[in-house]
Amino acid sequence: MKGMTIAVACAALSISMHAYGQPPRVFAPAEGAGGVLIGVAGGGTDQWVCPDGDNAFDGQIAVRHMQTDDKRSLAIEVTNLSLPDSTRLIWVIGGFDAPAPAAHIEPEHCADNVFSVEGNQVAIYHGEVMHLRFSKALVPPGSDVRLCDGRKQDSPTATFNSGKKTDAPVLGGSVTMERGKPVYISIGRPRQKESYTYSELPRLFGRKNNTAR
Amino acid sequence: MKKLATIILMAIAALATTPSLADTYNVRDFGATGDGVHIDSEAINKAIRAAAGKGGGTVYVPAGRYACYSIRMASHVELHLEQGAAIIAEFPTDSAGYDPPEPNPHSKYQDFGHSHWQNSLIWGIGLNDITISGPGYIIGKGLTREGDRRPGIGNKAIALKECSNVVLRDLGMVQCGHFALLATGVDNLTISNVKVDTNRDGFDIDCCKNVRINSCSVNSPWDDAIVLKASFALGYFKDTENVTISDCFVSGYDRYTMADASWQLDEPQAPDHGGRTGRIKIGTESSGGFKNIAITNCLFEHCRGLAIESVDGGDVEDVVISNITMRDIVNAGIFLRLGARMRSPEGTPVGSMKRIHISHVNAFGVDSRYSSIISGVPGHKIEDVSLSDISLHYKGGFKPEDASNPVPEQEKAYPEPWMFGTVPAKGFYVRHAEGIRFDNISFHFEKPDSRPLFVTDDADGLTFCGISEDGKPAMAAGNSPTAR
Repeated sequence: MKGMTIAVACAALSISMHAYGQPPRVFAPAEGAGGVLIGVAGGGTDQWVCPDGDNAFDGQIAVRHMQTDDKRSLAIEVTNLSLPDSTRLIWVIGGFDAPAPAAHIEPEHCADNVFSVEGNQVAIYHGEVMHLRFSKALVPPGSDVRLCDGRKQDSPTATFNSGKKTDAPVLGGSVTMERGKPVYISIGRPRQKESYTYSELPRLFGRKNNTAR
Repeated sequence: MKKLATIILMAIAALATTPSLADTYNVRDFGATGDGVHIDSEAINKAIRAAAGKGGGTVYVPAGRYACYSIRMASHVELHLEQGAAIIAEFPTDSAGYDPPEPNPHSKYQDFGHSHWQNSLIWGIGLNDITISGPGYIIGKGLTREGDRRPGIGNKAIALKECSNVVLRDLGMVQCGHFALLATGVDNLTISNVKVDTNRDGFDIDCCKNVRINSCSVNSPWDDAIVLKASFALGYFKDTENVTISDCFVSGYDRYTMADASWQLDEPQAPDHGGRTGRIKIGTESSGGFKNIAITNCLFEHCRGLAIESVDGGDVEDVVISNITMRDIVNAGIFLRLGARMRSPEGTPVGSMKRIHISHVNAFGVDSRYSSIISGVPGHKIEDVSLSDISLHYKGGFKPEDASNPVPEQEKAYPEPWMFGTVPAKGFYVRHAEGIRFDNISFHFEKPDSRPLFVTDDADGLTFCGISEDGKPAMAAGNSPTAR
């Protein structure tokens, strides 16, 4: 984390669900690759949330996100403020071959994305042979992680349960949202010296370190 | 009283005839829990030290799940994993992890993974007479396949350096990080009946002499399955020689779906974007050479084709490959490359490749973009290669204009068929080669392919006999291949 400063801190104590029938909008680094979908499921809820917008969860969750100063990486903090503890956060990362930061995960930008998952660290190989590109993600520890179908984005659980038989692979995860305990996701193409660990993510948002690596 | 005395005498006699268990060290007796939660590596290390201290013995791992960081082998010790036992590589934390990688002043000649041994789940350096045996499993879930070099990170399931008289047998190995096995400078190595399903390389046999690999299954869709190397990781040149690989199965099924026998094929791409890997290969690290190699009775499925590469100055000589059948091959069926990447100490000359004999090979469902390739570099030809009794079933589908594609030399490039782009031949592309004999080669094409069967460039002394295409003679006596 040393040497990393935050250029933008966009805080939203509540955020909107996406418009029904429209592809969900992603949280994306301004100059990185790929994007993150955030969804909330359980307790009668199964909705995507938007990176910006109105209050749709009535202040029941808080989402903050921030870019690194080189705009190559993005970190997201999600906190369950008042939803039941059984509520699950469903996250999806994908669309790494988009030529420019995109508002959505487009299936055509997922075709050859390869996800290497090691605990809560994800290496993403994209680009093309002999011109390979590499991105990294950190996801909440304890997530149930699986490959999913990037063509099925109707709802968080629809994506999460869509299976890996697809030409548009994305990576999905599901983790319980314990009330008051933030979870973090980061995504981007950090330069080596700016690479960070999950335990360092809380400090980005002014919190004490998490013990998970 | 007399009856009691008889019983005691019988008991003594029974004990006297029972094999002594004094040389067996149960890790539970040294504090291992096998509960999958507590870290058991220190208890296992205690058992290994106890065995070594008595001159050797068997360290016995009974059924259970043993969460571990580094396990340090010792000479004259067998680490035996019982049925139901699994040594599981745990994820490192901020306060605990794997042994640090030892310094290696020669690390610039090969990547990080090849250059260090201690940062592994099980490692040994300078040992002799060691065995790691099953039928239990080694599960490397906490090992990385990526290049993370932070302290505490482990990246190999088993790493051995400069050891001798080593046996690995009857093991299962799953998700093993960069290498399931990195054996560097190991002499007299036997790997038998080991089943590997991993997320990067299977067996890397690097600078080893007298190696038997038999009856193994290796599924490694994201890198090579069984690969012979000759890096400069030891700080000196050493050939890999006197190696047999026999009766093995290699494949590129989705990770871990060979181990659970679900055989899934939903993930066609590897991290390098060249399709499923999972093959038997000689190279890429090739500062030293490869001598006296026999590969026979092996099966390839859903993976890349057979590859023999020397690009760092090594000499490849006296290689016999026979009785191979391959299905659903995602790149060149046969790929021979003598290159000049030269990732070796300065002044190392370009290597050589000669006396390579490949026979009785069947390959079905081979991608046609790269057909099969034999290519040296200008001034350095591949010599004396015979290919006989070979049946290649290509997918075909290329057009006449593909025959005019320029083929870059790519002398210094990492050797993979893709470095040449779509090759101009539908059967074999042969360049910078001499003394290549094609005998009884039958080609089959799923779709019509308008490229010539053979295209040659700077190739001398080629002979063709019994060449057929889709069941018909393809090259009448005296005809020549298309030359550039």
